[in-house]
Amino acid sequence: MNTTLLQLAAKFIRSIMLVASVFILLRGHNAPGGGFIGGLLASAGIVIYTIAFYSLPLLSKTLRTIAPLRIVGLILALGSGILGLIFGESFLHAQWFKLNIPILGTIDLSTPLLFDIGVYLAVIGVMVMVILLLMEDRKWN
Amino acid sequence: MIVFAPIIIPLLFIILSLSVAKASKKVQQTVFLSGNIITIGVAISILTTVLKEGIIVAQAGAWEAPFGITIVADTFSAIMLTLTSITVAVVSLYSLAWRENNLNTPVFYALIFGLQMGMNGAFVAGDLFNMYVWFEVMLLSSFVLISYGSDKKQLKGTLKYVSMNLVSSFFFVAGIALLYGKTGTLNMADLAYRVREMGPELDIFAPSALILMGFAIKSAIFPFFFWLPDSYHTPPLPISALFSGTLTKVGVYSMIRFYALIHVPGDSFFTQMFLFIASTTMISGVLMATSQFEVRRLLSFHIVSQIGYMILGLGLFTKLALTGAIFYIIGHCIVKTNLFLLSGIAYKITGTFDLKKSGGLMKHKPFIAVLFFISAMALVGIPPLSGFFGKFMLLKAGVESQEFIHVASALFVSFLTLFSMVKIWNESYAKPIPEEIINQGFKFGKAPKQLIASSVLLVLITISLTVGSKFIIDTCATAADQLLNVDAYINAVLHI
Repeated sequence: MNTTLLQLAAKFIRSIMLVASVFILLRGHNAPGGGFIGGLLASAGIVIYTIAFYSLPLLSKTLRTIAPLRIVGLILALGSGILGLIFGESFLHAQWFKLNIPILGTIDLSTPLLFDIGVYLAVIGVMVMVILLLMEDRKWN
Repeated sequence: MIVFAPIIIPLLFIILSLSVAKASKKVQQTVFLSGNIITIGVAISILTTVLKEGIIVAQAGAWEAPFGITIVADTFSAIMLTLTSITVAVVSLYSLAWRENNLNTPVFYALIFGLQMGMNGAFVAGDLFNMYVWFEVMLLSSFVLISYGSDKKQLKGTLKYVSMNLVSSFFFVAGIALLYGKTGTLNMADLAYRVREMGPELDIFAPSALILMGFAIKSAIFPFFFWLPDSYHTPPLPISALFSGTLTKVGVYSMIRFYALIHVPGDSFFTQMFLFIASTTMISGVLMATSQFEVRRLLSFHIVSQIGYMILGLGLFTKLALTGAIFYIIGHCIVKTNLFLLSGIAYKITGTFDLKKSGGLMKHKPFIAVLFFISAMALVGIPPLSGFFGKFMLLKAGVESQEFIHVASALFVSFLTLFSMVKIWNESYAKPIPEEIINQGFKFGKAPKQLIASSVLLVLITISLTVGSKFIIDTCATAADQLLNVDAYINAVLHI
């Protein structure tokens, strides 16, 4: 879909959606949001960019860079459970670490956050892959 | 901690088999088989621990029951874990040598591990909603597997499979919601405790009926069985074998587990209904099987018929009956998988699944004929093979409970099972290849050694079920005892 309007908008939309997705991901611990929704948002941003600048090289490049994310995501999610098993009492037992950064103050890091990041990456990997492969297969665009 | 292993190990191997996607075939296959072997090891170590120390309980995330997700392994779960992991491993070995339908890909390996993770999770779940989630994990993998290769006939079967399973999931989750509204808990031990505490005041008939109906559709019992023979014969043969051996058993497992929790003494409605369903399932399955000439369809109808025996054990609900049912599940899972694997070997040699067009296997490959004979007789229940013990215990329990009609129908179904096994024997093994097929330039094909080896493995397991029958029946009896003695289960989870 090579229209200038969409191309112009898509660059901004992708950046905004990626930033918003990270915000939603981090907010998810105590409020609506989280890894799954964040991942969906981010993949929507990536997909809209690929639609606007559609070309086969771009498609295969996106697929190549995105595909490993699902494996990394699964490793992080499983890893957060294993960390609970090693440092805590049980599989998936939440572990909290305090991190002191001079200007920003104290940040709470936890294995649930790691789990959520894993979900986020896995969702991006799978969703982008599914949509792009369907696009390619159905000659859509 | 070891109870988590049946879930963690397959997940780990999903990641591994996806990440070696670029490596050589040898590496991928090594990962695949080693994953299966490690899962068997874990399952067996859980079984030995449970037999030694009793029920193992673990709380995910260290949230105490009934607030967190509880993972419980008792003898019945451990038996099912061991049984399915062995079956999956043998079918995996078989699928590596199948060389058709493009089965040797990392995605296929990941899907098999996904299926295994879902089944294992359902076996160790101590919480109804968690069990539902594991069912979904299992179903998602099975949806992809059953449409693997996607030719037209297969997609037709997939459509039925997917839609029926979605309907059953709907019943299941609707029942869970109602149950949560009525009792305020979904932890199985807590649920059992409240059911016993509140007695007849607590009316959970509607949610129980919905949940049991969900399980009934999944385990393909009368009158919900039609989807199974319509879909199980369509996917590539190793996948059919895997499904027929393991998937319906998950439905039966959850039915027995759930009913044992909510069962109150003197409950005549569910008992009568299970008995009625058992007989109708057995008879309708076997009657439809006798008229089939596609060997995979015939065997699929037999699955339905044999699920009836397991439900019979549930309906009688005595220690002997449950022991028989669990033993029957073990024997049936191994034997039925093997019959599917053998029909695949026969397909490799004669080039067809149609009984009318095949033949001559006894002359051409007597060894395979022996393997088939042992498995078929074990399915029918000729002493001293594995089907006999299960059926004998079930029938004895039936006579003790004076349910003579159901005993009679079980015996009648045994004869019809023998009849259709003899039919496969006559058509595929004993009779010579039909004239017109020979005239079309028929030649015997070759079956790879690995296919035959995996079938031999299953036959050896069938024989060892006879040789070690005392130990196995004792284990099943322990499992039945634990199912009947719910207080021990409640005590292990909630410490009350």
